[in-house]
Amino acid sequence: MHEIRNHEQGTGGGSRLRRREFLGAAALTGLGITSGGSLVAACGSSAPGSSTSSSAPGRGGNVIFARTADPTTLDPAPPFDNEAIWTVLNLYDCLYTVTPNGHGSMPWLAVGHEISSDNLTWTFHLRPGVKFSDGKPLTAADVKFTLERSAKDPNGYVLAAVKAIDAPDAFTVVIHTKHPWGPLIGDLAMYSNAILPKDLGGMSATEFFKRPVGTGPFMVQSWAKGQQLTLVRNPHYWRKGRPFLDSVTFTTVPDDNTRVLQLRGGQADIIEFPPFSVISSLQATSGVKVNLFPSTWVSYIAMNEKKPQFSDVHVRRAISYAIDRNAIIRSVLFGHAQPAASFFSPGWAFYDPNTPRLWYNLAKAKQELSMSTFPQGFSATYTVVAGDTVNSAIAQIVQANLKKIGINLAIQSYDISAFNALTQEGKYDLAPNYYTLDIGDPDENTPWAIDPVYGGSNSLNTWYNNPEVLKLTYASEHTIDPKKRASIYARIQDIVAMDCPFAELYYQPYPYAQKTSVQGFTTAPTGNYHLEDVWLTS
Amino acid sequence: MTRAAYIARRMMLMIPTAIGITLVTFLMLHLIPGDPAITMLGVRATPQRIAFLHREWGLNKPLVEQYWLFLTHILTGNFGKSLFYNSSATGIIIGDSAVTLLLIVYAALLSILVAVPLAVLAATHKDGPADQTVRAIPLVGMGMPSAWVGIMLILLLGLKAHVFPVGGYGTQFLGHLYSMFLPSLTLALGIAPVLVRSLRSSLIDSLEAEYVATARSKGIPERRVLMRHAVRNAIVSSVTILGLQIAWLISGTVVVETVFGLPGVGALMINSIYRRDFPVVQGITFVLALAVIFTNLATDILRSLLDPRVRFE
Repeated sequence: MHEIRNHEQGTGGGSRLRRREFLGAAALTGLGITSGGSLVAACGSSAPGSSTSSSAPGRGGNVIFARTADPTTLDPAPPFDNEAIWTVLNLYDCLYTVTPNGHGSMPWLAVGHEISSDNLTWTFHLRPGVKFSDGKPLTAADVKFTLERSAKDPNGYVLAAVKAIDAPDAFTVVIHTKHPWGPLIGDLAMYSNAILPKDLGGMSATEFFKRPVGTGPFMVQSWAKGQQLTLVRNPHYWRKGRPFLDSVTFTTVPDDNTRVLQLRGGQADIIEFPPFSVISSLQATSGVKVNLFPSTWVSYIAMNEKKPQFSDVHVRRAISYAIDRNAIIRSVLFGHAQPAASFFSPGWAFYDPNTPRLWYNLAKAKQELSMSTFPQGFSATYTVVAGDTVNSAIAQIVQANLKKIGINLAIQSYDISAFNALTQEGKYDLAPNYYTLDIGDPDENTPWAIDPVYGGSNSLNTWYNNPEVLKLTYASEHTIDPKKRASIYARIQDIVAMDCPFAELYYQPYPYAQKTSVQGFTTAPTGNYHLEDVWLTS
Repeated sequence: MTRAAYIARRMMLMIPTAIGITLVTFLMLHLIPGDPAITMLGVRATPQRIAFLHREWGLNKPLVEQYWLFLTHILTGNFGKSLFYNSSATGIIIGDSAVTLLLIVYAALLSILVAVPLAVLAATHKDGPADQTVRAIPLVGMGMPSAWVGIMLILLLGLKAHVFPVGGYGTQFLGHLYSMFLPSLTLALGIAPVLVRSLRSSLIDSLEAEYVATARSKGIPERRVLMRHAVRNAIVSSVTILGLQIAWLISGTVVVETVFGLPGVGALMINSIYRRDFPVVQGITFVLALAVIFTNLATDILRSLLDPRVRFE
């Protein structure tokens, strides 16, 4: 069977409907969601660069973008921090990019692909006329070099199924897989697979990433580490007319309140993650606009199954039933989140809204605990990151909630490095944490979440192990048909919800605040932004 | 002992002090739980990746060897490679130190500009309403934490009056001075009260001294008596106080840099501790230790220049 897909990879009609439901719910709670229209217009292979905006974007200007942390690197292959990920995606492009709704991937440097009847050979056609920022044309050799390079890096696990990559001509890339591999298109949209020039233009990596060359809308002008990173327009950018801005300056302002003050004082044009406590006051500030972009963020409480209490599924269910998620969302997140049941977020492909909800129900919580080996309750610790105001406040609520069923929590605070080390080593009882997804396919995260051995993170440090879930997860990876994958993932979400290795807490948006003069700034649920779509009004 | 010999001896003493400080920092960093590799990899840390990064960073070597490497590197002005940025820690620290240095010098100058006129006013109107006011206000000032003062200044002069920017570092020298006025003022307000009080009391002493009476009796104008005779003598003890305060300022910048979002060495220190970026933390500790030692030394030298009676022993 040969098929050409020139538009986004569908994930089944069902998930579209759910997406709309989610947006509806978001609108009801007052979330401002900007249109991804200009992005969608550019995704067809026929007319990249056309805009559907009503007012014509102006050209020029600089945007100062205050973020919480510095990027760790400008090399797309190794990073795990969002600031680096979201920066490199403005310097380089992938063959595919995540769709504005986060549920799939759409052609970007590739215009389409064919798959062989045995589902083992994928042929990709590159977009003609794309140039790197040094003016040299993009060719299949660059793609082959990049994918072979990134496969060796820690993020290379997403390419584990790739057997060989060929570049038969300048615009054709052929990828052979060891076995059928459903997530391949999503994996190619992963930042670590952003295309670099072959052999890094003959330079060493250290030299190259000082002034990197990519096909993305911007180039690095200067980077004073720990201070600011300035990007300037790439004159050879392939989306005609873009970027609108001359430059973007990323500043690093870790303190939440300081970022808000900088926006209000006019020193920043866009700020990352204003705290939920100030959203309403910012919304009332003239000249300022708040956006709560739907995200892939899932907050949960990890339960350490190495400890006898939490290896008992009834204890885990009792805890999930005892937690009052609405109270948490109301008082800590000021209403800007939704209670979570699935370990997939609504921003993920294959999210299932019908996953069983082990939500606040004191009678059920007590009943589950009575069925456990600890019917009288017990004492345990709840480990949080010191200075994390959200999780410290949640800790108080969870402590009060669990007390009602006889589980007494002692809250312990550690700085982030100690917290990570303790959870990684299994030296904790309960610990809140979160994860996000970078691509339009859940397979980037699913093995991490549920595979205690090969996933890499000991099932997110819970040591959860259900062979059936493992079998289903790997079956989904080996399935190409999105409809079949959707039903497998729905099943996985149901089982995990009832096994309850994590008490899922909530799905939160990515909050951003900006001056009203900034237009076209939006993030995909994966959190990345296409700054080439941003422009300024006077 | 001559001044040169004294300085030489003090410089020699700096070496064991600085080494001691780096040793304590090194041991503390490695004793507390937390691993830079796990922090960087987050939930995606696998034993293989952690081991890979440890090898890459040399963290798999014995502690003694790691410390010895660090010491030998320092001798060449090299603090090693930042784990977080994967580039020279020295370069990052120097870049951020410039911001902090400007902040401290600026704050010290502002505090003198605030303190000297107030102290003169209070001392020349001893026990009058002006003196009482000058003595009372600093008490309030001392009680206010710099984080709060900073936020108040931002609200009043930044957001309401729009006179100064509320954060950032500015470009060019004048831009830096303009952008860093509020943070410097915040720091200056923290140390000015101590300066005012010490300068006031020593001014009062010297105004009552016999050499001042002599100067007055010779018909020297009061203004000249005050500035040339009284203030010059009174300022000697305040220089010591200012020196001690500057050493304190070096630690005070951490809070102010956070509030104003300044990319200084204090903010870098905090973030590097969170990330367990060992080379950067050790490098900053070493630089700060040297800065404090140098400030104390410079204070002593300045005192001897202002007051010929100061002897080196």
